[in-house]
Amino acid sequence: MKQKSTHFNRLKRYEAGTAYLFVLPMLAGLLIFSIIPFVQNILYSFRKMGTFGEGTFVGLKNYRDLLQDETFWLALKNTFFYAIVGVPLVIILSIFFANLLNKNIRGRTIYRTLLYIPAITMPAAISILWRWILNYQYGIFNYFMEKLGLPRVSWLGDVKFVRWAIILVLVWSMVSYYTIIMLAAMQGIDRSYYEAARIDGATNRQLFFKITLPLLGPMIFFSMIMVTIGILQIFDFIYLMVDRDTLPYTYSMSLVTYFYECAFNKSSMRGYGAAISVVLAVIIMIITIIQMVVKKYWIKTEE
Amino acid sequence: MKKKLTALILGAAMSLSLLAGCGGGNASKGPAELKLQLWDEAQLPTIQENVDKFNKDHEGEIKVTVEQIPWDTYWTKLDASLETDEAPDVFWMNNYVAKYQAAGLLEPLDSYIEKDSSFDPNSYVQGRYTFFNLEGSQYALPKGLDSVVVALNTELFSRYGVDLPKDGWTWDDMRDIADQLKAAIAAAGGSEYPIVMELDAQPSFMNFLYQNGGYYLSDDGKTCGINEPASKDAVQQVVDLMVNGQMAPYSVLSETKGTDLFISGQAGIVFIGSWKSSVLESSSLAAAGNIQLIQMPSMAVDNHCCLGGLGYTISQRCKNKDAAWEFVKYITGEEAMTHEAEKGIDVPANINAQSAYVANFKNINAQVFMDAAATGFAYPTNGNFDWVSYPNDAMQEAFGQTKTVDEAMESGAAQAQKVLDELFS
Repeated sequence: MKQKSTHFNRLKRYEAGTAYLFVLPMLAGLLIFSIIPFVQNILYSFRKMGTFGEGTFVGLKNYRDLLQDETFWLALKNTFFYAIVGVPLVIILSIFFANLLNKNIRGRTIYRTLLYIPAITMPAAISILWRWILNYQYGIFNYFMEKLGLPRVSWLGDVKFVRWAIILVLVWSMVSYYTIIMLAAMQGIDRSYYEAARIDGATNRQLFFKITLPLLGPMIFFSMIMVTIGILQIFDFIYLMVDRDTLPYTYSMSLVTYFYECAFNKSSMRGYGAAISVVLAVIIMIITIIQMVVKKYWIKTEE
Repeated sequence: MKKKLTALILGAAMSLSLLAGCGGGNASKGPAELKLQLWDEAQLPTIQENVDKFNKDHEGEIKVTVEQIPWDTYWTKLDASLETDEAPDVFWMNNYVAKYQAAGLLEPLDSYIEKDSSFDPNSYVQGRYTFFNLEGSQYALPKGLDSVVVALNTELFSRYGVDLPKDGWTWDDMRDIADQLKAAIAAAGGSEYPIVMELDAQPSFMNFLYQNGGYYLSDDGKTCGINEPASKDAVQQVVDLMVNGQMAPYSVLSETKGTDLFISGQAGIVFIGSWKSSVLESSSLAAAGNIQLIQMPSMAVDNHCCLGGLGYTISQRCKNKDAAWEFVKYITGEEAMTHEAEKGIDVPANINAQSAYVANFKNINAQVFMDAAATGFAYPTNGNFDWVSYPNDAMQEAFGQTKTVDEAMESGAAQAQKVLDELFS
């Protein structure tokens, strides 16, 4: 018996060693492109870094400066604005569309494919498309607004509207992916629940609110975390849709956009940029922890 | 054991191949290889032709390859690459030259200039040649120059029955013309704007500040002057144009570039840089003979324009510096610049090539750009760019009317001055 277990252990160790060798290339990539830069970034946030060289150690100065930086607060406010407006919209709309697709309607596959297209389109293409749609002078959006008797709006040029334009595109691009996720979750719900409820005389409305929605809980929770993280890291649409060096760019700036401007475009603010990204990482961590804690109280599973 | 060995070798091979991707480069003998880096996609085909010619002339000795990196990422990539072996040998340089010179990343050209009897510094427009002379050493040879003028849509003027302005006009004249256009456009129910401009510094406020007697940066490079009364007044005059509907509103200009509005027939007057000359030339508006160029209107002092321009620099890290000098001399020389001029892509800083530039334009009178360059002043810079975002943001705040001109200029200048004072203390 004893002998057998040693043999087993040796085999296990041997196999584990082989496994480590096979994950080595992947691990090397992770280490070089994610983990080392992450640690280095934290170290940089304590330094004043110029364009060239390693800079000098300044302790917490970058973080203290952040507190007094109007643009930082604006970027923080914008980022939360995107998250607070964007997350509920993405979740609600994707459940709405998934519920429509979950019915036995004609051409369901076509609708499903169409809905998924934004998710596989590159952000750059989406941005250019929407730039044109929203253009003040030539955009089709303003054309229809005018037809409806509303005034034209410079969506991407007016500081009052630019954030809403970003939200619009952001939600549009994210809903498609999460619709498919929600749809998959809905189709995983056992049909017998619905049959039983129907026999008891439940209405469609009741079916949705009493069965579908509660059983979607875990998936809604997962989506909420992912959407929140995704939106807090928003960069591409702002960068690609709004002209840099103009006022709307400043007014729609997110934390990542501001990080980019500091770290890559202002020659002496690399350390400062690093500090911004550390703050963002901490914010995302805190929000995720809160969501994890809250999860326990409102998620019901099928069991 | 055998299995383990195989796995080990496999694993090692895989991680090696991963690393190999980052390496590259070879040390084989052959022609001296040079990498040229530039940002302008529009100029790339012509420059590639010049490079091909150079490579052909130096078959087996020098081989130059061109890499184009878009403006938005050009400096980021350059900064990152200059500390590695991936650095370009020769690259385009503009007002940032002092920054790279101070970091010791550029090769001084004096020794090559001294040795080379075939080289004549006087063949370049002196204002642009000396611009690249820092602390007594030459760091780049000038390629071209940028001047700023005004373009008029003559069809729009005649359609609305307004007389065209003439050289020697003033801002008062311009306001008057804009009012006439505005009234006529409104009466006809049109959607055009009398005046448009680009919001970047060079084709707009950088000229106005100086034309009105103000300044952006003092001559010694230590003081930001956007809060000077004359500077504030210049900015106020631009804001008033927008407020009075003489110029397109900020929200429109920040979304669609002034030049694009102009060539699509949406504006009567545009302040425009010579770097847009080929855009103008190839527009349908110009093809129909409807674009006329004219010098800028005068403000309180004059109508002189801010002169920019590019040059070719050699990296300190370049391994074939003699070959790089040969190349830089050729690419800014008469033959290459005449070819560029014939294609109309840049106003040549090489005097011998300038006549070819003007002759090239069929639809616009490019001589106006040359005349503007003759009286132009050098773009104000001290090689440090940590402070420039403050005055530039202040301008946007003022134009966008989120702050009054007074507030925006005072706070912009104060923030800029704080950085400048630290820099020179």
